[in-house]
Amino acid sequence: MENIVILGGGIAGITAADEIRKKNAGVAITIIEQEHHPLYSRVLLPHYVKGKIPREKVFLKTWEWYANHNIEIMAGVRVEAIDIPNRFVRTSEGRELPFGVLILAGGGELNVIGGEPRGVSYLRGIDDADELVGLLKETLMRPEGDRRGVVYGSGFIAMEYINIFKHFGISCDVVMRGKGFWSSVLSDHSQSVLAKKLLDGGALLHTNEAEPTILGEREVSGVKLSSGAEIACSILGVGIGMHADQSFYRDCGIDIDRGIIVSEYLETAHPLVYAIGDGAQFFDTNVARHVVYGNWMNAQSQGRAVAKTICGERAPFNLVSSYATHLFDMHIVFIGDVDRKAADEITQTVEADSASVEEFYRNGRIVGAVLIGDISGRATITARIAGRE
Amino acid sequence: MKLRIVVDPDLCIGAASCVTIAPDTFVMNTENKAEVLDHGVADAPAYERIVEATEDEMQNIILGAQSCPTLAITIFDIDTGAQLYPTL
Repeated sequence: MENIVILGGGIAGITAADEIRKKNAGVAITIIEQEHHPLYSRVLLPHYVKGKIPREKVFLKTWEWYANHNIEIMAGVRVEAIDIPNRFVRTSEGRELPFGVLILAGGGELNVIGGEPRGVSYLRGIDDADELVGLLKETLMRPEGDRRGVVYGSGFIAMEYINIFKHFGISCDVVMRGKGFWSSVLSDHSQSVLAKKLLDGGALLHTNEAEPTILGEREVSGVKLSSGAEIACSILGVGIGMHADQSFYRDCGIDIDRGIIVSEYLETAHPLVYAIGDGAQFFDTNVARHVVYGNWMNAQSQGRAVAKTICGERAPFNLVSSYATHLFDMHIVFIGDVDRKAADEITQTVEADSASVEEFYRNGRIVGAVLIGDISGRATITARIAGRE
Repeated sequence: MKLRIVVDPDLCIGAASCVTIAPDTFVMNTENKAEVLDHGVADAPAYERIVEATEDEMQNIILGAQSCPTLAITIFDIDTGAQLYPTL
């Protein structure tokens, strides 16, 4: 087997490297990773920020692990070009690295807002989490009535900030562009259940807002809404999603839409070039269309699957993945394909004051579901999506 | 071999990857936390259980534990006392 280059040292890329090494002791494996850290769990970052676990527990690998497995890791390095016909990548260090097999496991690009004075927080990686820990400490040193946070966003990262502020007793105003949480996915009822939970938990909600203007030059002192209202805060937690770096990959001749287009075998149109993880738009055989899932289970499973294919055990990737979060003590689970626009029919199977379950159908088959406040049907729905029931 | 399988409910976030990989050993409860089963069976709900497992079953249970994004699952070999996962 020719040498393998993996772009991205997150869970998808590292799992691929680990599994390939288990099957092939000799092949050269190089991982190029923008961050300066060995593999860590992004999912554990909120636990670390809340002080539930020490920082070192976030890490899943040590630098020694890479050396012991004969896997070269180029940390703190970006890829500036991919030359598919001549089969090499050019790095930010100016190095041209040839590859026989290329795995694109770089994830997506973070959406950011204008202006970044101190106090604007993202939760993409451990450096962001470290900074947030510091900001929280400073905020908690303020008088009790002057501990204020604002969250901008309406998705999974916004939920984490809301829960973090609640954990520390910091007041929380949530500002979002849409009319509610996940407004392009959820029904009005689902959104109202979440809004009620948020308000009952003591937070305030500002919907249909434009991007707030940040107040404060060197440090955040508050935000100004489109109505002109100003909200004082010392932390602005931003969670407005990710996007694919379309121009970069397109310039490299790689098909990209919302993610890098790959088959159910995670293969691009180019021989021995694969894409996995948050940045891959793969053909999901369970829902019969190309989808992008930004969750840990999907990324790790694709790392394992691509390793098998590369090592000669070619099989289609098959997984009904899910993403679980919570709003205070209310559980929220997304399963499978929950793109509202791509569904033929959506049924509201639970419609209670404190619970909502929606099922998404296409061509007469269930392809996804969202469960809020009542997750008892999770296993059954997952099996139905997989065609096992 | 006998395994002691322990789930830390404070760390578990309900990702359910363990259930996907090892459904005979893990199941989600109504609190969205993983509980431990013994070959698909539970006499009572438990976050910790001793399970007799074959080599293949053990490998799959460890794979399930490895899939947990919050390292909420710990597995011990009862006979030797060794912690099989996470490896120290």
